[in-house]
Amino acid sequence: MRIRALAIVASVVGLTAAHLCGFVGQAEAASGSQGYAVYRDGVAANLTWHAAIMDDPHWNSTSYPVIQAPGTGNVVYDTWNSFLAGNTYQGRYRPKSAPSSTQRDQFLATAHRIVTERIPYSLAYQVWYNTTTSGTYVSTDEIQGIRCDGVVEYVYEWHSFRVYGSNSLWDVTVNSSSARLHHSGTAVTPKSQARTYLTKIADSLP
Amino acid sequence: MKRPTLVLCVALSLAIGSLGAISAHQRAVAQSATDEALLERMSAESQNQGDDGLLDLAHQLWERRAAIDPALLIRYMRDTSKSATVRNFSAELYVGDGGVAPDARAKTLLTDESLPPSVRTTLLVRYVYTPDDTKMLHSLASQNSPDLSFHALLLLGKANPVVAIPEAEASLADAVHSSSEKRQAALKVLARYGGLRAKPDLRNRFIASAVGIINSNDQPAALKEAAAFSLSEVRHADAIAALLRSHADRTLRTGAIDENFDILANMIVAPYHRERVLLVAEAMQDLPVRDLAGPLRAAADALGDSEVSERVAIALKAINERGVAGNLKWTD
Repeated sequence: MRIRALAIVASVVGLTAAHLCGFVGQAEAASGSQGYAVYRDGVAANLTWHAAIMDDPHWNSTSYPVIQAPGTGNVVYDTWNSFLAGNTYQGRYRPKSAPSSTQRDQFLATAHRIVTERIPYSLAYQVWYNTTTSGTYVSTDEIQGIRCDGVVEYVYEWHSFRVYGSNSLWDVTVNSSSARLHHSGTAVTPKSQARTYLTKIADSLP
Repeated sequence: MKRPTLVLCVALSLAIGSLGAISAHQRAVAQSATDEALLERMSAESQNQGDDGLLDLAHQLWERRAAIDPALLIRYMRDTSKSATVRNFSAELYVGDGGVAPDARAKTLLTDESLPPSVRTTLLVRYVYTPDDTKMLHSLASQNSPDLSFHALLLLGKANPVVAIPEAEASLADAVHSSSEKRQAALKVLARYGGLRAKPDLRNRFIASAVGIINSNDQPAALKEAAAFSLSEVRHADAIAALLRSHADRTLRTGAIDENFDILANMIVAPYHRERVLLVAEAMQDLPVRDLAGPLRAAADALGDSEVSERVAIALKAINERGVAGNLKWTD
């Protein structure tokens, strides 16, 4: 928001936001928990969890701090209460290879891109797409269905941060029926994604 | 062999014989009952556990999708007493592996306004369409459901761009009567299927519209994001330059630089344009990309302009301190 406000002021005097960010000081990068994955329990007698990506630096009760596939409907910006849905927060996580602030900026941009595609929920696969019509890599506009842990998996793996999967099939963004199947059913769940394939940063609220 | 054992063996043989005599219809009925039991369980559990708790049930049903009676799935799609989750998942199962044209029955479902828009959207996005489907897609694109109309216009763009492009341009221009969702889809249709790289007039109109939306103070945030990502998706120097000069926020600029790092590199080769080199140097403050260090250095050396050299030095510092590699997936 600060950058946007600066941009509006700058436009009045004929400058762009890039002028201000670039030559007055370093631009504001991802901070707090932005770009990290957050989880809560409470699903199926706690057998599995629910996942989302932090869009804001910190949780709050007034705005839309998370990006999530809530179940029915599309991937959306959502409130903290909608994410928790009365359940217990389980911590924030990052890929095993720690991303830099710049890379977390990239995560956020890709998560925002997913939201603009209004992708329906999918139960059977983390990420569902047409293997015949998609390119070598499945771009966000080619995704036809996505699960909550699929949002996390896709965002991180598009940027080559490995989450779940074998050495040859881990990248869910590679177009192949084998890779798609590898990320289906209960092979990986939100809970196993967090506890086995990601690194916990903290238990405390983001 | 003792008598009780003999009796048991005879009974078992008869049972096995009768199993072999089960008709295909009886087997289908038995299978259907099992499928229905799973769907019923899914409907009940999704009411109180959330969707992610249904992965195991979904997996079981998906594994047997080819054998599930389509009539059972249609019944579940229609049944208002079932959870939204199971109704949508019935649509997933109905299309199955997808990637094919919808048959007559599927088209009936797609146009059945008694079905929830989410069910129809799940069906809609998983089929492949041809120009023969223009009328149906056009009709769906005109409906009130934001998701259904959004995806229908996008699919119309793919199936029949000759019809969809003028429609998208008209929707984009009509902020009064076109919904935000329809204008979001229109932006994407133009970016993806408009052939903008080869059509300067259409491209310039598109860029002006998209930048106008991004810079406005009264447009929905979702529309602004769609405008920025659509500009990025064109992957043309004019489009990325316009986006970088717009009021797009940091996240949108980051996404665009990420997607267009190779376009940006091509913007700063000989013959060198001072303003373009400055623009790319500035962009490195939002997302420094290591692949651009060499081209920026070469451009600064060739131009011999003190301001350019100073700004490129700042960009190179950012690249050195926090640069990322260009993501070749975008160039696919």
